[in-house]
Amino acid sequence: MIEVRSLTHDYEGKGTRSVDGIGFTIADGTIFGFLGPSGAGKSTTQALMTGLLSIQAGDVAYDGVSLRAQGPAFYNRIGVSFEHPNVFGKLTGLENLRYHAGLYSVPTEDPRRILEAVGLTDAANRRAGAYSKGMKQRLVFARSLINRPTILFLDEPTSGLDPATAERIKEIIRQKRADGCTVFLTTHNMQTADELCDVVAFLNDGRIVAMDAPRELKLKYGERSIAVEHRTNGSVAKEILFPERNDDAERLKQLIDGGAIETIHSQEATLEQIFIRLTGRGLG
Amino acid sequence: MKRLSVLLRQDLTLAWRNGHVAVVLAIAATMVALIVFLPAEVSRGPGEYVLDTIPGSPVRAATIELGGDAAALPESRERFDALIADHPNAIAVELSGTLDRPGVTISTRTAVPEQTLNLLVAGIEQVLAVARGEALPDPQIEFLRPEAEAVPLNLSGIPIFLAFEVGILGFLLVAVFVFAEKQEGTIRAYRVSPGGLWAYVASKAIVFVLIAIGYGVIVVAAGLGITANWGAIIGLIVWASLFMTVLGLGFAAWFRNLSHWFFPGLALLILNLLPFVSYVYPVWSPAWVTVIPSYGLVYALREALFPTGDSALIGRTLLTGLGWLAAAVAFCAYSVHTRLLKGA
Repeated sequence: MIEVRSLTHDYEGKGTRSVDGIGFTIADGTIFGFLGPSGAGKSTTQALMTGLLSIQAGDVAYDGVSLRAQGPAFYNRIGVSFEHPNVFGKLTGLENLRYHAGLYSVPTEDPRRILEAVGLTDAANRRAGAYSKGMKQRLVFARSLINRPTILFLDEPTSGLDPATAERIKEIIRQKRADGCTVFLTTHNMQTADELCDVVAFLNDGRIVAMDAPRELKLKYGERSIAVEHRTNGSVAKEILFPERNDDAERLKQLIDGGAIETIHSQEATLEQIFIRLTGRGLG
Repeated sequence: MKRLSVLLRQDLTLAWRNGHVAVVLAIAATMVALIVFLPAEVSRGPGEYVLDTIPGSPVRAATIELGGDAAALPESRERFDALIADHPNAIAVELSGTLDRPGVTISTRTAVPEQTLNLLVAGIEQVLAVARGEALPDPQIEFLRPEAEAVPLNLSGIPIFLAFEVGILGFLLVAVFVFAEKQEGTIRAYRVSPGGLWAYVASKAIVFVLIAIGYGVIVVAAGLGITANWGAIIGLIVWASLFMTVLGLGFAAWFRNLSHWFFPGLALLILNLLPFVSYVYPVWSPAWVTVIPSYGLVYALREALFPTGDSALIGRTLLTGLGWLAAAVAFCAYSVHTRLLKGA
């Protein structure tokens, strides 16, 4: 279990906190989504949790042991995938994984097998500097799996990937959860979070504004809505109506009575809509 | 050991693919060319010409008897004037009068150091004394260090090529390595692995020691063949490379990139090069320069390459070097730990 308590970080020490007293718990074998727009403090939190940044205030504990008390062996247990692909451009994809695997004192995966899993078999012997951004992203993701980690930190793992490849990566993440791995997923992609996460936390200006299972958040904060397409003056228009609101209920009745409706669908609120409702800002 | 071995293979591959080995080989080839193509000796002719107009030319005869160069002692004024005209930097010395009341005229067309003129005057006085049949004083000569054979000109640069190039290569190239890792962000990936401080430092140090040994062997073998004192030479090269690489790694850790590092790094390299000036002009050896580690190194290398019997100098230099190395390792460990491997 991972426990984060009152975690705070101020890069410049001038009172502007990138992470402001956040706390949460992640159960073993779950995927915890950390969601928020750019600059919300997501990557900073991941850096603090992995020891990339020194903890200024608060604490992070793994199975009850503070990160401050963890030795080098701690890093045998975790895998980290970075938002910005950081690989040796002058080494091939295979060499990048092979050399990185040599740093661990635990059994590691076969680099070729992992490259195959992320769809890089054909590029295994090409220098990583010649990879596209998406390929580098997959190589970084593959590297995070090399030591068979029990805790995975993934920062925007599907960013810049085409839908088919992104789905492949998501499937690997689901498989890791099924194997008992705990995943800390940082993203601003609400759809990815909705599909993968058992629990999500919304981060805004360094603070957690909501945290629960995606379904619970939708039930708690989302309003059921109806998407209506109707033909008016010869052209098709689309409206989202919330029947629990008096104005929208009246408008819906008006459209039904007018016989202009072409399609009508009920829909639930998305995580993005809930985020906007809670913070007043989008995720761009 | 497995971790170090993996990192070493990785860093050697990167050193090769980043062209570091090619750069070192190119520099070694340049040094070898200097050794092969420079002459062993440059004959510049006499630095002074003497015309003896004293009747019987006793000074000319005495000078030749003392082993002087006859080419510097023309027999006629025409020849003397022609030589001076052909050699405008030479000192013209004209002796006149008699042996008992000689007149000496020294003329130069370029600035000549006062010490040189004083030596010349003392030499003329001695020759005049010999010509007069006077007994020469027999001064007691004490050699402060063993007499050594003159080092051929083409080989005289080898201690410099080794002492300073090895240091520059280690200091500069390890910085390039660190900044490449910072720019690519791979150092962040290393930080969240169990790699740790010592494997990281040791791997870089070993890579540049191996490159330095390769460079040193090429340069020394080109000049001295296989009969050199390899134990001492390799020992000094290993120390120089280790010291400068470890120092360079620790130093680079404090800077964001090569541009940020450039001027402070250059200042440190220039400081390290100052003993080169003392080596070429030994009269300029202020005490503070002798403290710079490369000062002792260049003289120890000269002793290892061209022995004069003072082999203790090599041992002393290595022993002092161990102290410097320990300080550099401590600085490097602190810098790499706090600036590269631990979040600020």
